[in-house]
Amino acid sequence: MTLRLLTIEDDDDVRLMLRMVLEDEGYKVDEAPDAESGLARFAMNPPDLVLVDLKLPDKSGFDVCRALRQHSDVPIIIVSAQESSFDIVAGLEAGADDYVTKPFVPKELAARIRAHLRRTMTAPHDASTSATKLVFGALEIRADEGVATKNGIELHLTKTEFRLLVHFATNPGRVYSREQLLEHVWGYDYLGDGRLVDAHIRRLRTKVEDDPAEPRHIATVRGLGYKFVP
Amino acid sequence: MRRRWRLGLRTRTTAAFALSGLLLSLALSVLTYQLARQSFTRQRREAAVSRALQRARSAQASLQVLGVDPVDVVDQLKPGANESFVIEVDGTPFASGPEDDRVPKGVRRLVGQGQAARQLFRDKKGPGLAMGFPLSRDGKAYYEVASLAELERSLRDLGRVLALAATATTVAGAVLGRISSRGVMRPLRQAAAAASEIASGRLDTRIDAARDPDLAPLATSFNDMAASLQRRIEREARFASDVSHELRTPLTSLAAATQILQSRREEMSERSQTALDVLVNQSGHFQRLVLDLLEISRFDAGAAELHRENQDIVELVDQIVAASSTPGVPVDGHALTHRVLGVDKRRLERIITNLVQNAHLYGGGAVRVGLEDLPGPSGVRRLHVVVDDSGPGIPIDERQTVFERFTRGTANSGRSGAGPKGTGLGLSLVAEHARLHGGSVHIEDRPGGGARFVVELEAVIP
Repeated sequence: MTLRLLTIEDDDDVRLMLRMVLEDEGYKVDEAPDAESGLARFAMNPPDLVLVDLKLPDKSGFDVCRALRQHSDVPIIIVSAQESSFDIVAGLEAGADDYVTKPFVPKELAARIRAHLRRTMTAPHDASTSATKLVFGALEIRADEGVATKNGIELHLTKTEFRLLVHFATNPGRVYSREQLLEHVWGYDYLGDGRLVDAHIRRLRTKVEDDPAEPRHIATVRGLGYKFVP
Repeated sequence: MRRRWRLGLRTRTTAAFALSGLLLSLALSVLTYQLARQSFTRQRREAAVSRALQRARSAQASLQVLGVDPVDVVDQLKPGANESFVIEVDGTPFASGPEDDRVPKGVRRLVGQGQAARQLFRDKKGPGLAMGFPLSRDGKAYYEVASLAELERSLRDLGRVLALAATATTVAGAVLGRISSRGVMRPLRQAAAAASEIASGRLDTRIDAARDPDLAPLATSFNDMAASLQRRIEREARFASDVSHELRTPLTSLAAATQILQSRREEMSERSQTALDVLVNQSGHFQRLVLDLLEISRFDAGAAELHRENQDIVELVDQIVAASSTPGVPVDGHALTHRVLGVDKRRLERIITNLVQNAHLYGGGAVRVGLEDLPGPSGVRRLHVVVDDSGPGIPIDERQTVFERFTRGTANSGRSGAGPKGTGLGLSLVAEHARLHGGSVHIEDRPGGGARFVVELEAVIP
């Protein structure tokens, strides 16, 4: 099965080169030059992963992320020419799973895409090796089905959020550093960006916790990282 | 530069106030003292003269009675306190008190010539007023001495009081000067505080428009200056960010296009392959150069932020060195007392990667990366990262200049052409990263030859 990617990028050369590089990597690539046509293409033929530029002629990449997140858990990688903290964090808050800063080495982008797609495809089987159904009070995680419920209502988690939750929940009480989570959940080496973890923890808390400001399950361990409290 | 020793504005204001107080009160005191002395002395003299004259007259009258004993006359006349008199009859003195001749010769001479006389004098008993009146033509005379010691004591007391008042006025002047100079200094202090706020990066700092119309121009021009500075810095930062965006996009397509060509290298002719190799090398160099320039411009625009995270320092440095241009360099972290410290790992990575790369290009390759931590301010360790190389070392007069931008050493003759070239910005970035970390970088001689780069960083204890 050929995996399909959607690139939403306004620069014609970058879009063309991205398509050729990704096709060389064996993906089928769909593309759009602006947010509107990108969202239309997504609706017509949902891809396995979306690459979106932050600066688009009609809307911002943040808007695209938020629009996609309304009814999709597709992995989203932001491709940005900005390196400021604000843009990166805002993009992650808008629902992106990861980001790549221009100019990137094409092989690195390919590696990031592979990491996200591999996780998406294999996450349920991975988790099922440790436990199939985890219950913590009102929270129920069925790792093999890729479903988490709270009070019997299904939580809309992105694939990365789900993966992060399962990773935590299979080892309750164990403290994970940001580096360990980056490595296990995102497939990064030691230079991964800790803000990815922090932003995903925040997002996960708003979905899982009764009061995200006073988290009951996903606890911060000051100076060390995070842990899951059953 | 001419540099003169000068007192501070506040000290000078205080001194001026104190000096005015001193001069004014001194003048007033001296004037008061002189007037008081003149008036007191005159009063005392007039009173003494009139009493003496009265006694002299009654002595004259009594002595006219025939057969009167001058001793009785003396007894009849009661001298006041501090007064003593002598009646001389035919050269024989009859004194009111103990025999005590204080009458100056001048007075006696005038009286001897038949004239009344008086004289202010001073002898071992103190100041006095001597008066003499001839009582008859046949050698009877009346002499009186009024002691002025008490008057002098009073004047001395007055003098003391005035001196005290002058001192008090001087001190009060100094205090007043201090207080009023504080009022004058307040706007200056506010301006100084605002200026250091701006210098530390809070560009929107302004000072309150002063209520005092004399000081309003200071506040206004200061705030105008701050506003134009802020506009300029923000414009530069925006420019850097725009340039960054404009350069990043073409570089991205260039890198992607190069990779597409490279994956088809085998399909090309030899000439095309040679051209492709140059393209790959140069676009890689171009990309590194742009990234370094963007990094430098973020420092220049004050937009560089530090993201401290707690890291196992030895593990991190091991990974950094393993990914560097010379992965085999030993990392020596045995001297570390705190293994886990809060540092910006991306910046630490840039520091070590650049130093190792620098050693690779110009120093015969790194031979050791050493780590140690020394005590710092509360909650902070001073982390030392030491990179030793086996090159010829760096002459003392170049140990500062190598950290300047685009200062490049001569590459080792042994290796030319192969591998990536330096951007000429690596070491200045090392210095900037270190500075942002509250630290610095310097060069020493490595014991046994070669250069030793020592980076000192503030690392937060978790």
